[in-house]
Amino acid sequence: MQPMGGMAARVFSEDDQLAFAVLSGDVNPLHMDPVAARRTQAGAPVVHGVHGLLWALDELSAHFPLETLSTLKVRFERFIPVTQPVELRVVKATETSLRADITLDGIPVTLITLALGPRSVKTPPPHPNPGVRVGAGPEPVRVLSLDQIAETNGHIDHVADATRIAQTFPRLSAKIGPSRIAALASSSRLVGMVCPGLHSIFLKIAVDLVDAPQDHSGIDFTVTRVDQRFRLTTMNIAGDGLLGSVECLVRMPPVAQPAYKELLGWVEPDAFAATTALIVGGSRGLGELTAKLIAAGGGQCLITYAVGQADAQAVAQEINAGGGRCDILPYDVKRDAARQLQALPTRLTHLYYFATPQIFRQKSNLYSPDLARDYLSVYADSFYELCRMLADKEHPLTAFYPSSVAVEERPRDMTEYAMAKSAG
Amino acid sequence: MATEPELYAALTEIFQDIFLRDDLVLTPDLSAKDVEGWDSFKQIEIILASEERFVVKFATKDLDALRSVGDLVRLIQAKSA
Repeated sequence: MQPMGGMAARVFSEDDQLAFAVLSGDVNPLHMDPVAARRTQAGAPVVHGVHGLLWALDELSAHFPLETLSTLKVRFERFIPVTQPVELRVVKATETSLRADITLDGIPVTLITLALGPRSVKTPPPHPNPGVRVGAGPEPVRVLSLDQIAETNGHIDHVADATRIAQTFPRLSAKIGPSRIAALASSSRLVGMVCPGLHSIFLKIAVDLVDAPQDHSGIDFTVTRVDQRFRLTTMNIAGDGLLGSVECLVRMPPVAQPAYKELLGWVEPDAFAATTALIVGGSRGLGELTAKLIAAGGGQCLITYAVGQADAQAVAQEINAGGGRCDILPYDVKRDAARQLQALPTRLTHLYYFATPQIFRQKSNLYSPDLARDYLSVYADSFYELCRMLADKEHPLTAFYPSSVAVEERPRDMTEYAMAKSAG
Repeated sequence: MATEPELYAALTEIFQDIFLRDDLVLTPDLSAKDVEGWDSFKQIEIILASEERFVVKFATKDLDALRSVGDLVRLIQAKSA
């Protein structure tokens, strides 16, 4: 009855990210900040799941009778990295239902199930007396603990007006109305900005489209379940023609390294007095910790960063303010080392190599040559080039190259990473 | 308490709903390596849906030992007894 298979393709750009953030009010750093996003499970900025969904529904509206859309169930299975091409494909279509996926490199990343037919006669619950009221204006992202989440309910006003919604998603707006689209966009703001807020990942939404009259705009929400074991939260939502629930993960916040002053007591003050160390990737994680320990032991550190300049500055400032010695230097291991590292001090004694690309990636096949090459360029090629360059200048030099449990255990879907790490 | 065939029938519905696959047939030996997309998130979905369906609650240590559908069935039976 209707077209099947691939229907549309798209690349979500950084401009698209900004446009949806303005429309929805969801400016969670997972979507907007490359430096913050690299410290999350995503590893890089990712498309708002609801943005992908609304794009898909807008495309489907051109081919299917979405004016009879009665139930919408969506699973955001995997991230959609910004600038990665995705496709919309119809999996199954009948008179009363529709299954569609958004795919990335052939892998389903968003699963969409629609029911078509008479709308529900369910009545939305009474407007709660909210503990949280979020207006249409900009609000800072909230950070709620699991215990706080369990106590939360409230109301969110929509950020975008009907005109802007209709301009952005014209075909879908004509089918289900701009208010429902605004409510879906606000569900993104609910999860990403309000509850759980900063450390969240949107997993599912399941809503009935209802025709009940409403005396106020926006969506009401009530937390109905918090599972401490899995850090999962379920919320009921109601408003502007939608009635249903959303489910999200309360992800663990990035690991914060100990403060420099805390580490001063861990090493002898002169343990690294003869060390002048170049710490590649020293702006965060193990590289940051290494820099602090060497400085605490009287050594001199030069930490490099590829994108996290502010992070690197913060680490150096903390060390220097505590009496240590630390400088920073921009260095992208995928570019020529000699040209970037001309300003190195002449008495370098140690190299610590913590450079890493995004480790956990989605792929459709058992082995991806492109992915392997990408890892090898960092863990083998660039490491070798850097060692050779430094060995020419500084002799002797001790190089530290961190191992990984992935080399021994070879986790599923990490073959390329393990191979490259081992090669280094 | 549900019989074993009833448990498998109910779990089949759960699995088919979670994996969006009508053709999925459960056997005692079926495990994550046999079903495309059965990752840690899907495992959590299976656990939560099973708890809701059979009105049981699993402890974290129970979950660590789960390797197959047969293990899950035995765990549900133990918790329901």
